[in-house]
Amino acid sequence: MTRCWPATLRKYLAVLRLETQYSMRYRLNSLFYLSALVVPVAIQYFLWTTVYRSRAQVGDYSLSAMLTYYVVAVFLSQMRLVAWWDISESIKNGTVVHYLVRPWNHFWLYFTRTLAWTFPILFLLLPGYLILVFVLRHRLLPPASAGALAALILIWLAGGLFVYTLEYMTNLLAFWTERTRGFLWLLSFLTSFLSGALVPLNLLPGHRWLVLQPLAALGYLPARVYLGQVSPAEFWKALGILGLWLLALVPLAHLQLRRGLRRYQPPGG
Amino acid sequence: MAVVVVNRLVRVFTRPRKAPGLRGLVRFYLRPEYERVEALRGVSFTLEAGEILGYVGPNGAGKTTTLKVLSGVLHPTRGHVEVLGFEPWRRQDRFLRQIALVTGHSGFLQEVAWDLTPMDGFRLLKDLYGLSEDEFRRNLEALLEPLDLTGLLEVPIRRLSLGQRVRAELVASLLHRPRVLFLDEPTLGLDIVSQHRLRDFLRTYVQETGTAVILTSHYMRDVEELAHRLLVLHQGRIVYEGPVETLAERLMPVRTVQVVFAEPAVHFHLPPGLSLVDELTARGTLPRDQVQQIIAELLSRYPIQDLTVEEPDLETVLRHFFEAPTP
Repeated sequence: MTRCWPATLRKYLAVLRLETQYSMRYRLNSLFYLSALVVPVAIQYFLWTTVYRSRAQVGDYSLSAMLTYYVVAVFLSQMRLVAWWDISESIKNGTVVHYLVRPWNHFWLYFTRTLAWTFPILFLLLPGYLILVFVLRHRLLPPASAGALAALILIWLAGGLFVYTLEYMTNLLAFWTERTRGFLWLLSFLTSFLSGALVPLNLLPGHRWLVLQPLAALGYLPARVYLGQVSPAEFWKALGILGLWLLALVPLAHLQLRRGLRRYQPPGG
Repeated sequence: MAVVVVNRLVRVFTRPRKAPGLRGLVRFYLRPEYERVEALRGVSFTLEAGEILGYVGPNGAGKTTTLKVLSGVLHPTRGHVEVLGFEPWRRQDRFLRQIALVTGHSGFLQEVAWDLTPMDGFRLLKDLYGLSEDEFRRNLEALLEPLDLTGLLEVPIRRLSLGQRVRAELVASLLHRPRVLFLDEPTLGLDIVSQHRLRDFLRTYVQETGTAVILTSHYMRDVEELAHRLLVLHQGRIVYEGPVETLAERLMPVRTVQVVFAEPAVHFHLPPGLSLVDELTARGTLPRDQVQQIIAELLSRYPIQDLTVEEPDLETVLRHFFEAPTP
């Protein structure tokens, strides 16, 4: 018998509540998040103000557009759903058993846990973000429209689910390899680069393809949507591609879990 | 009716073999070697509702593997396993709602709420199992007092003693009233008082609820006091199945005998198996089928003040059995 949606949702909301409390329990550690936005944007600020001394435009970005791009892209990429902290560890040390013997879906359970860790980051990043916006207020551009803000959130959420799925699947490799740190490090590096948080993707060679790959939804696409530099047709195309990726990857992640469990050898039997 | 049916269960693992040192590591990188280990070799048994099955054996015998197969974590390599009519490895929602697994070495609450309180964990489980507030309160109250956890609900889990944590884990596993409970060394590391309290609780709980329990433990007192039936597992095979009381008869063909003589016995001719522990007392084990005859001989030859013939305790029987060379 399929359980009704409210009951299913309630159990994941309970995880969300508990995990949010958990993630905010260390006050000092939380304070360090304040610097997570300020430092990368400050580096980009010094880099790009130097570049723009000799030119007025880089690609289709003015200095203001470039700085706005970084404030938005860096903020969103810092907020991305990072699922890599303990799924593979729990497989390796056998504690995954405690989750597997309870009636929840392992994929969505960790998605909820991951989401819960995003809230405090948002909460802690916001003060730093507001200070940054205030300091750079004469350099930054406003959002293109209210619709652009909504579109930005939509594409970023879909991108977040996509990168979570990738990281979840990479973690599940622990069923085969036990340690996954190398894969996760590689994925993290690629995500940073392909999200456009390091360099706007349309300034790179091969940008026609780079802007269509799904990780662009984590930083590049939302920042461009904010700036009003993505047409509705381009936006829906990117969202559609992302949707197709998700339709393929989410069932694949479930299949991977089933396959992994089939060969699972936890420590101690 | 059986709630657990296990028929010819086989579970095979592979494990890497690597020589020690850097050279061994390089060789393993170039040509990894694995060996096949049969953790379970055709295990069969059933479990009825309201029954506590003691599942014992030395380390590596396959006890935990069996529990993990029964709770749906591991796939059987071969054989048939059914719990409450479900094939556990399919991990269907309705199956998972009716079972619980408690492990003495780690636990669910410690995993999800180490820095939070037991109540935070219990509330999560309330929503996970879809319990109403009334049901949750009723179940919780029924568990807190016998497990002596009242007053500890708002203390962070990491601040609880080991005994309190294990009892809290038990509450977390029983809140949803599972029909089948798998207990994997629940008294591991507990002091005598905590072990005793846990045993008392389990005995009453099973009587009242009719829950079927499989209990593994290295503490034979747990099994002696709680199990209605015993399964002894050795090298992946069941070597004994039956009541605790008849285990000694089957696995250890000796009985423990103590003779107190009425006068110093230093020059007495004692049968093999008996030796003096002081000048009046001889102790030892005698072959089960010769006990009567040997005692009759002793009585006819020497003045005897007291005589005791005992079945060896469970721990002695199992030690004797597991230490014997494998045929």
